Amino acid sequence: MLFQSQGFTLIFLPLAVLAYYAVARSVAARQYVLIAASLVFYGWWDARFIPLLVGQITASWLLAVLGARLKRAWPLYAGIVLNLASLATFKYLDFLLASAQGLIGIELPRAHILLPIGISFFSFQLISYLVDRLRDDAPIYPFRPFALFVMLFPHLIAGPIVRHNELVPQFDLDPFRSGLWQRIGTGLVLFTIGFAKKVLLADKLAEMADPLFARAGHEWLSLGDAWTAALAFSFQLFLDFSAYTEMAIGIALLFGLLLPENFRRPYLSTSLRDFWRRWHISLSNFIRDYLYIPLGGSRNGPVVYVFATLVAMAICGLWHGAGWTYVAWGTWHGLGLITCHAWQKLARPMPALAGWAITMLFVLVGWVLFRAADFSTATSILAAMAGADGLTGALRNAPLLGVAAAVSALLPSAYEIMERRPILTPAVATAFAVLAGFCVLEVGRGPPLSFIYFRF
Amino acid sequence: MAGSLEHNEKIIGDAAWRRFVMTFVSVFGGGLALLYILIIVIDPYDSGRFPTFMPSGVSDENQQTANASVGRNPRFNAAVFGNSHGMLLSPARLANLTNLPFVQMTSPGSGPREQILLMRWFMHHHQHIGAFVLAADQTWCTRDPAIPMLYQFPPWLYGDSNLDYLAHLLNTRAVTTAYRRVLFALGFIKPTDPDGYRDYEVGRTWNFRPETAAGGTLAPILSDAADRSFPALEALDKVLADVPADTPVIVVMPPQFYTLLPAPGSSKAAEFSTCKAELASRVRARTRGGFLDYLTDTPIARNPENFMDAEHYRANVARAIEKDIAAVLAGGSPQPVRAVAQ
Repeated sequence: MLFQSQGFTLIFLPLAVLAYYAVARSVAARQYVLIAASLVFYGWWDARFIPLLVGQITASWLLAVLGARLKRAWPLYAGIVLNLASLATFKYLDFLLASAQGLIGIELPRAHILLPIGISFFSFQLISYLVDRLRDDAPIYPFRPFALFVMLFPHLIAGPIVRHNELVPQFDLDPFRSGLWQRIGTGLVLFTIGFAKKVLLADKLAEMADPLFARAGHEWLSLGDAWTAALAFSFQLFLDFSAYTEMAIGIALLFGLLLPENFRRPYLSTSLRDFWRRWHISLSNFIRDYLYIPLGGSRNGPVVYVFATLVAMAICGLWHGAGWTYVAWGTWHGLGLITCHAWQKLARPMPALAGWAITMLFVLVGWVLFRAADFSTATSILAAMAGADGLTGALRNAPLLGVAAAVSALLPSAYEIMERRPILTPAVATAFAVLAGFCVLEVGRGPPLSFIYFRF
Repeated sequence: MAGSLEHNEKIIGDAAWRRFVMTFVSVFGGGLALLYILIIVIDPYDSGRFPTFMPSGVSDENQQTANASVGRNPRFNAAVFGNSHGMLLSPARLANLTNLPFVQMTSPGSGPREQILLMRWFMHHHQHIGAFVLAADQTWCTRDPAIPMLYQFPPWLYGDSNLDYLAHLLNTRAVTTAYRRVLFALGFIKPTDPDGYRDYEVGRTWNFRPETAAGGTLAPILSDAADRSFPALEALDKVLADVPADTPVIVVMPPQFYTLLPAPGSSKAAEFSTCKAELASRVRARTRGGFLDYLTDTPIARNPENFMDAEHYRANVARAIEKDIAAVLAGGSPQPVRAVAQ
């Protein structure tokens, strides 16, 4: 079930909210409502993966409890290995087999396992909890709130990646506590903004980018088409993913819960380090806390720093998808971050405009790698962007690209909206309601398009 | 952040937020509910599924949805089904030739599944059927048991389920079609031709310059699947079983430019012949059935001047086919015409 589908917006979500507040006085009952809603939500895609989700949660929790009882670390390591093994099997097995085949030159069979939706997200959250247990930085929670922290449907499929201590304590808060209407109102506003960004912009940009990337797989694009493809996908990705995040944060607020921040207008970044403080913040934090710093970080000399950065970013790339283009994208950003770090050490600040232009060009090249089906398609597009096939063609649908650029740069992020003093007139409420209604009508024209990050 | 929410809340107060939420929910929920009821009552596609105060008549310009209105018009009791390969058969001329009130129920880009839905729709809305003409093409020879839809088509509009129909009414397309229907009811737009005819030659200049080598793109629709049945023909059997035995049923296979035909002597050509023979035997088994095959290598199929493009014949060919159909309906057994004048 997609957030923007009519089934979700008109039936599932209203019923879930009503059921939640009907029993909200009881901590256990409202948690059961959320668990049931989350299982229905997840099972809507493919009920066969519910046992996997519930199994990973239960096994991780049991191993954490066992570790605490025995006062031993091995059950926690076993839990980490179990989650990594699940991820490796369901997401990376065919990739590993294909890579091994490329190395040894012998044809290997493929498993062709269907990718369980959201596995990267819930596996990472479970791993983060187990690592925090190893660091003695997490309590043993009762099973029900622990399970709910992982499977809470607003963040289950595509984040934001939530740490246990950000969410579990909130389950005990009374939903009727002071600020009830503000939370619901803010949730409705954020949901509507995300809804509009997804349906009215991101999906339209997909109609531009998808055919061009497909064409680039077998023919040269003109300069104009190559830039159109790169720009359209860059805006599509941000608008699609930030839309999902805003809808997720908005939905969670309807239940009185607050999810962490994920974006802060990343296309205004003036350096690559700035970009990663603004782009997919919950993943950046996870990579920093659970990979980069354990690998040595920046305080153990330049060699360790370079190693930690490259490995952490390559794994960040691989987390997105089982393909070498993703690894290359992550490594590209790793190299960029190292260069950026080195430049900043020189203490010769770059003019903001120049820094922004270089950063955006760097990010744009990265997105071509990220989106392309293979290296030859990526190379073909990048070469065409550089004019290798002549300086022909113009940007397609420049007005749409212009609107997408303006919205990406000017529209405040979810947290920025929450931090501002809102205008609460009936006219504003009506405007948001009409916008949400129009999106419902627009999405009803055909099967809704999935969010890009659902495939990761 | 939580702090900032609490801070704002103290400044603004819950009462203002409560009003905001109530306004949002009222406008969103009430607006959509009202709009939905209006759409159902206006009946944008003139489906007749629920009581409506709107006058009947075709106001829709989209042929795939306009057939809902066309197909239930009691003025007509004979129909032509098919896709764009049957579009140029004129119901008015067929009516003149046969004295049967013909209507066009073809749907461009459709395959057997869509066309069967349209046949069922027409049958559901007509007690007596004067004649049943199917302009069939190679898509009827599919080996795929799923008989997949070939193009965007609204099965919910023609299916049996009112619930499915209702589930597809809350969207901008239905809103704009409903708006058009209101304009139609108020007399601001003229009704579309009620017999459903669209001439694809109008507004286009003949410019067919065939370059394709022979041996054909009809071939890929055929396959070497192990299952040797033709699922679409079996589905057609079920439809024809519900058509009264004395109702004339004519299947026409209109011509396409010869280069699209499977290469003579190939396995695809043999399979195509088998499919045609099965289709012909089904139709001829009826009391008043006729099978007219123009989808062969004939002088018609070899003359580029007979085609708008490789798949679509021109008016002169359509006129000849109409005459053959009329002859079958008159009780004759004409050989399909092999050459036509320009």
